[in-house]
Amino acid sequence: MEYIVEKLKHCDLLSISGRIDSQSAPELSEALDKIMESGQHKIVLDMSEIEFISSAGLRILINAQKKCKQQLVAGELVLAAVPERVHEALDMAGFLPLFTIEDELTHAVGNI
Amino acid sequence: MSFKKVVVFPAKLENLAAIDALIKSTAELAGLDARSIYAIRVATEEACSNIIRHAYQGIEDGTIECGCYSNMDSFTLVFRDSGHVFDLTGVPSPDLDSCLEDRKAGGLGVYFIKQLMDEVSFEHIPGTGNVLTLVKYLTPDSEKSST
Repeated sequence: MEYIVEKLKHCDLLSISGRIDSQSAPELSEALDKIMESGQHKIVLDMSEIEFISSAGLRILINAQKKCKQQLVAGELVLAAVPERVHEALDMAGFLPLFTIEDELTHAVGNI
Repeated sequence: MSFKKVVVFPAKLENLAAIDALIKSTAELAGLDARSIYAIRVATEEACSNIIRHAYQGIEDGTIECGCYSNMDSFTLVFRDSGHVFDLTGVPSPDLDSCLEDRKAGGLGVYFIKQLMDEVSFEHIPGTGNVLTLVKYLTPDSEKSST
């Protein structure tokens, strides 16, 4: 798994690529924690280059969403450009009602 | 295509990618469609990470034997370990309808395995270890295969 963080005007954009499994999920957690520790709780996650995600990765997403939403000034973790298989995993986990999911990255960044 | 392939891996999280590569290549060889292959890969990751974390909890030098068996009707995975008894078939399903605040992060992996595979069975053989068997049907009219 590799990731890049871009600090934008209204949010941070976290772009992930590769495989998110039990081995690599802690890296995703660390990346999200660093963003939130910097005070930013509006985060767009670009998932377009994620090849594989297991429940270990999904657990990180739900925990990060809880932290973002718990802020006094509510933040949000928005999922963007979600590949079909990853979307199916989100659906199977019952996560679709818990996240804003945007097809277009630019739309996600512009509307958070 | 009928074949079998058995490979033993050290039970370490860093070997999950290598196990995935084995499962992906054999599932492709068996002629499964892309959706079924992805389902099997997810189920495998969940099964092996559970073996590493739970069956081998406190055990450093365990192994996972991954057996891939294909015939005209099905693709079968058999995972053998010599760790503690961990019957994931008995793990309850998570509540998928609770709100964000109440949503528990655990339990999804086993739920995924049960949802994604057509058959899931567990056997503990005293003195030998655990045997987890996952089956995916190849028949196109299988209810789960077509969803």
